[in-house]
Amino acid sequence: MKSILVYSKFEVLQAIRIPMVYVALLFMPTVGMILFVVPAVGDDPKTAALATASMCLFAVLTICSAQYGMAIAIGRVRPWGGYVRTLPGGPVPRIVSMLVLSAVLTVFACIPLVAVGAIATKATATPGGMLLGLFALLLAVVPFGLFMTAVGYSVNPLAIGPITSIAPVVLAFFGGFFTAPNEATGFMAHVAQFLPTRGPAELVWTALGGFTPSPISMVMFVVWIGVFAFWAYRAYRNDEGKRFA
Amino acid sequence: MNDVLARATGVTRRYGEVTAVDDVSLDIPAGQVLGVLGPNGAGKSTLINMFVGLRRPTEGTVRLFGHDPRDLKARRRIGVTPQETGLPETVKVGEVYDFVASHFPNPLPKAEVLAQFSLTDLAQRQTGGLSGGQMRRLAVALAFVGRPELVFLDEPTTGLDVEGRHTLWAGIREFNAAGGTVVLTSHYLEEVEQLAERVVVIDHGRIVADDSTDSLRRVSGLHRVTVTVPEVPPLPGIVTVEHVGDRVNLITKDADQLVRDLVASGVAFSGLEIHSGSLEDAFLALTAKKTETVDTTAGTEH
Repeated sequence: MKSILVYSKFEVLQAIRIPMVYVALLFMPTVGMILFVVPAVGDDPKTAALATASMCLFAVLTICSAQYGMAIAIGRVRPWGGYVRTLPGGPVPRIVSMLVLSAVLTVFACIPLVAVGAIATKATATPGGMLLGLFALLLAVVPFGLFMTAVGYSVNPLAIGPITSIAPVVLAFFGGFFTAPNEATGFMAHVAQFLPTRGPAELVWTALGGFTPSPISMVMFVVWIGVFAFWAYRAYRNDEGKRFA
Repeated sequence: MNDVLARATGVTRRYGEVTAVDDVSLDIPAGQVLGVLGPNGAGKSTLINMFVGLRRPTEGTVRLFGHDPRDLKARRRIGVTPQETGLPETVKVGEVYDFVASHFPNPLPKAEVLAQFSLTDLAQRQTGGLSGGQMRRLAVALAFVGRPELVFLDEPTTGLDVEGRHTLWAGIREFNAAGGTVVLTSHYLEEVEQLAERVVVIDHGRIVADDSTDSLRRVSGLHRVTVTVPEVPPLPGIVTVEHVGDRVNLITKDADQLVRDLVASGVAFSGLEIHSGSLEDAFLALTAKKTETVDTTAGTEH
């Protein structure tokens, strides 16, 4: 337990001293929300609440792509990670501390978004719903984190920048984060539910109330976790031989 | 003294097609300072990585304090230097100490470690703001935080000035005098010569020499004949040719005969100097054999 605390503190210290973290986490999603979501949601409190939740989930996706995709790819060309593995710590505190950092950043990122939602839109939500929503957001770290871990180990570190900036936007768009959850039609309605971003979104919307998840999305949620876990494991194993040969 | 702390037995490590370490057996006895030498890519890092549990051998076994090197019980008793470029930039020096110290049951106190490596004034500095030498000192300091019995120091003094290097050497000697065991890799042969009592030379993944530093120097029986000469004649008895500026080092087993041959060959040479072999000469002779046709332009007997 002590080592998990120390590792978590170390992860958080590393992250919070990077100014870009604040820009990426607090500024970007909030500006996006004010510019694109606030004018579009209209008068329905339910729709506004779900749109705010979608933006929070988008922030989680961005966090995961930076923290796992970007950090792992960069870590592969830096020997610090190798050094830490020579310390008598084991993998558990390392993995748990990454998840703790994800949780801390998620809460950070959601505060301004929820504030904008509450002030500038007619969004309403019960405290219980918001708590469940936060829980669903943290659950979304599992597939997103595994996915980005796989990307981080598979991709050339030089290519990781563009990939981790574009992938979240594309996945969020086709997952239906930027359209009203209950009004999706045509292409979106059929394709979205097979995407890895849809399952977590539907869980978050359901947690807030006023949305019923589709069975396909829920099955795909589990399937994608399996796929990403396997891919991440394979990518990690394949990478091991190349790092500091 | 004869307690073996770490042992590799018939260890081979392949990366796909490449064999980085090829059937190596090596004991690391307690109390020794062992120098590991080899050209870049010879397999030094891979061998050390297997001892510290970063790599598993493809074949053979590695034991660290009688355990698998991945066992935490074994790793609590070793210290390793991170390569300095890897320190997380936003974290302060004192915080890096805290992080590393948390892994060990009885770490050296922070003040003591920082003072010993002249880092006390830098405790509040983020590692990204350290100079190369400061970073190197921190990296080496981290190997000693957990009161290890065995430390692996990979290029410990790269980037240090002469004074910093000598301070560090004194520290390593002190650690060794108190019973600590050291495995040292360095491309400063002088450093290995100064510190190590035993030297292992690795080339192409194999151990090509494993002996005490003294006997390696002596038994190799090599001498260095240094001259200024426009072109080295193809004389027998030259093991290796090294060019240093306009001077040429001729490594040979028989300096007297070489000088006689040199005179007899009629080339105009000047500034003749003869030194009995250093570790560097032995190292060059040991690792040059397989590549001499590429490395040396003249002077080898074929």
